[in-house]
Amino acid sequence: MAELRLDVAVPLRAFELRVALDVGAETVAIVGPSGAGKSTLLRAVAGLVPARGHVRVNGDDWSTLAPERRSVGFVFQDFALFPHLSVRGNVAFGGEPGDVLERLGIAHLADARPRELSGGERQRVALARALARKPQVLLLDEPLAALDPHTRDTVRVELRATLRELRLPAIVVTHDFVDAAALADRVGVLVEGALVQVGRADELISAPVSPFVARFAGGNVLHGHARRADTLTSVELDDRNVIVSSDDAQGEVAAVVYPWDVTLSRALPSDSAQNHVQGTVTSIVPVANRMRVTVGAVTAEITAESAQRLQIREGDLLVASWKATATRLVAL
Amino acid sequence: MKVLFGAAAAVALTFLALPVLAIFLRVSPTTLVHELNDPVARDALVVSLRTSALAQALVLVLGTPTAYLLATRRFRGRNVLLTVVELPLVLPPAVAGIGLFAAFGRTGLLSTSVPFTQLAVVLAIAFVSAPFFMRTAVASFEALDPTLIAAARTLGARPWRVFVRIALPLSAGGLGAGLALSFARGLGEFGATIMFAGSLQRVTQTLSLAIYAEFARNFDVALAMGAMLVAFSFFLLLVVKWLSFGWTSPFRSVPSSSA
Amino acid sequence: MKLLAIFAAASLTGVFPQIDREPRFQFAGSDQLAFQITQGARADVFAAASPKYPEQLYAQGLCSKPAVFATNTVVLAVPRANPAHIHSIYDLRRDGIKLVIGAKGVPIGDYTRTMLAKLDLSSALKNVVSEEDDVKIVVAKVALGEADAGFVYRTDVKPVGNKVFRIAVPAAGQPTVRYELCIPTTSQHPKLAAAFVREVLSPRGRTALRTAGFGLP
Repeated sequence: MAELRLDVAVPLRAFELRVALDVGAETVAIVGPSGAGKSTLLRAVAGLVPARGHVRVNGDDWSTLAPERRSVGFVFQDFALFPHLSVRGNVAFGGEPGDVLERLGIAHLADARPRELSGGERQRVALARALARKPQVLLLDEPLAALDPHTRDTVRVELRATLRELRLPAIVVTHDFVDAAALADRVGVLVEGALVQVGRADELISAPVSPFVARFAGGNVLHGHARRADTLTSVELDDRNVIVSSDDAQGEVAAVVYPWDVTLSRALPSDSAQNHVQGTVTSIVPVANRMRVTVGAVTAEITAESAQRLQIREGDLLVASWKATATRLVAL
Repeated sequence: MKVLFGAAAAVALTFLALPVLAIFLRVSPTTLVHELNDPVARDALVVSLRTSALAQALVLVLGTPTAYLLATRRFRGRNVLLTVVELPLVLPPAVAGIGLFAAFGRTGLLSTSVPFTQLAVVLAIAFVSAPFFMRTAVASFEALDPTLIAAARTLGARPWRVFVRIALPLSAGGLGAGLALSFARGLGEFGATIMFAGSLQRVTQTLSLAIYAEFARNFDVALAMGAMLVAFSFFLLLVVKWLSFGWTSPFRSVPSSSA
Repeated sequence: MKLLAIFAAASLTGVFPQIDREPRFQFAGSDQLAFQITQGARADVFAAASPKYPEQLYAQGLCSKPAVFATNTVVLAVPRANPAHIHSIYDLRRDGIKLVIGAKGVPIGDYTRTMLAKLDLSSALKNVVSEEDDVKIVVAKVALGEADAGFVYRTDVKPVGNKVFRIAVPAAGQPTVRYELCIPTTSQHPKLAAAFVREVLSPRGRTALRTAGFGLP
């Protein structure tokens, strides 16, 4: 059973990074503000920074091993490809490439030098290089940050598929919650060296433990299938509801809706420019002076007064409404 | 402003080029070639070539790992060691000669029979020219992207492999340039050599020493040797510049934004 | 205050400043000094350890008629510790001795070779490990103990007497070492130069030379 168990402490400038986390054959995304210690966490697992505590992988204790003796695949933020080696040379540096070049679709680039490649291609080479080693643990530091928006979408899709295929314990560090939700099974929010919440993406949205997490976690992520229809895109969600978005997309998508863009009402509004989804109230969580109310698959953030006025109670049937323009579509 | 800057540049460049040009203008090419057949000149050339080659090989083989350690490890006393490595730079050559006696002379700390031998020339050249190589080598290794080193380690490379397959190839240009400087300094070495190794034709008399010995006796031979030294140094500088240019341009760090 | 530039043989390093402390002295091998004068160096007085160079300059019209002002003798110097166990000049016929002499063209170098030829000891030249352009450097290497022996002037041994042993050269081999001086035509202060020359040749100057170990003409 592939497993990474870590409990590490690393002193940083203003605070100490202290994280205890168990990662199975899954991908865990670590999100948080810059400076929270996300990259340091990855480096501690890889052994690149000294850390107190322990790192155990599949029963082996890595805590005293030098980085070169740990079976990690590390994808660096700027890819860190060796400029003087070809793609094949880079990938083979860690071990026999096998068919990893073909699997990641870069076999045709085998003789190219890194400086000749596009951002997306470099990312794939970096990943191939990390995988050629047949690592037991995968560590990715901001894998999409160095890419332009268009490439990001394509690469996000590929990376998600690859991670699912590999079934290795993987930790992905990112500052973008939507990336985290798309790539990972679980998401942890790291603030000033401590994990304030770890759970599925939708849990973080529906039940954030703090306003910070609430703000940081960003929006509802609804899975569905998109089709273009006139000026708008219609998305059939997994639960058969259909919503529209002013974004352009086709095929499998994640529709992102921010809780504060969602209004709640008892009756179906007559405004056709909006999305309306009816559902049962499954949770009501106060956050500061507002309320996070989960209706069906959508969590809304409304003022305490509105909640009071509507007299919301768990189990009530409500309608969640938001604009088509407030619906971001992210390709999956 | 352009006029001022241009004038300053003209003066500076003329000043630097003139002594070199004058050597070649003063003696005709035929005389030059004829004088080069003088046994003093030929012997001096052989001594210079042998001792320089050996000295620079010594500097390269011992200096490269030292520079790597100094550049990549942080330890107490590192700054002191860096200063020690640069010391010969500020030592007047004659003092360097005395120092070599004090260390390796018969009456020195490690009593050896090195003085007055060709090995003494090699040591003197290595001593005064090493700092030129070390400075550039340390800077080259320090300029290595630490993320590349980290990446190599996460790919299972032990320190030796990191050094040979990542650090060396990426620093080759800098090392080459440093060696060029070191070589040039070594060719011109005089003070420490004449003290510690003495001057004896065919054994320890390098081109520099021969020029000094001959200029009062046979000026034309001295001039010819001077011309030879200049041509040699110029050629050398060109070759290594080309080498380091050919090595560094494809290896400029890869930009992080997508192409 | 006019400072005279005196170009003098290295062996005069100790004694000339005693005769007159004021001028600027440049001590080096006589051959090099002569060369610099032919290249236009502004020397006011040229004092050499051999007649060769002043006579050459005079013949070229570059200086006044040279005058002899001192003599010297060539001796064999060995370090106090005498590591090669040299007790006479004939010991130099042995192998493996580190012998330092003056280069050809430098007066001490020429005198040494003349002397060795006279004594039929030219085979000693096989032991030469270094040829110096300046007699003071020969002395220094013997005094340092790095050379086993070196041919220098008698006057050079005195200042380093505590470090160096003096072995006499047989009279039959002793070359005639005559010091001559002259006033280069490039001199800017011929009157003062002449005054300096007079000082050297005066009783006071001769006493200083004798005290330093020079012979007097």
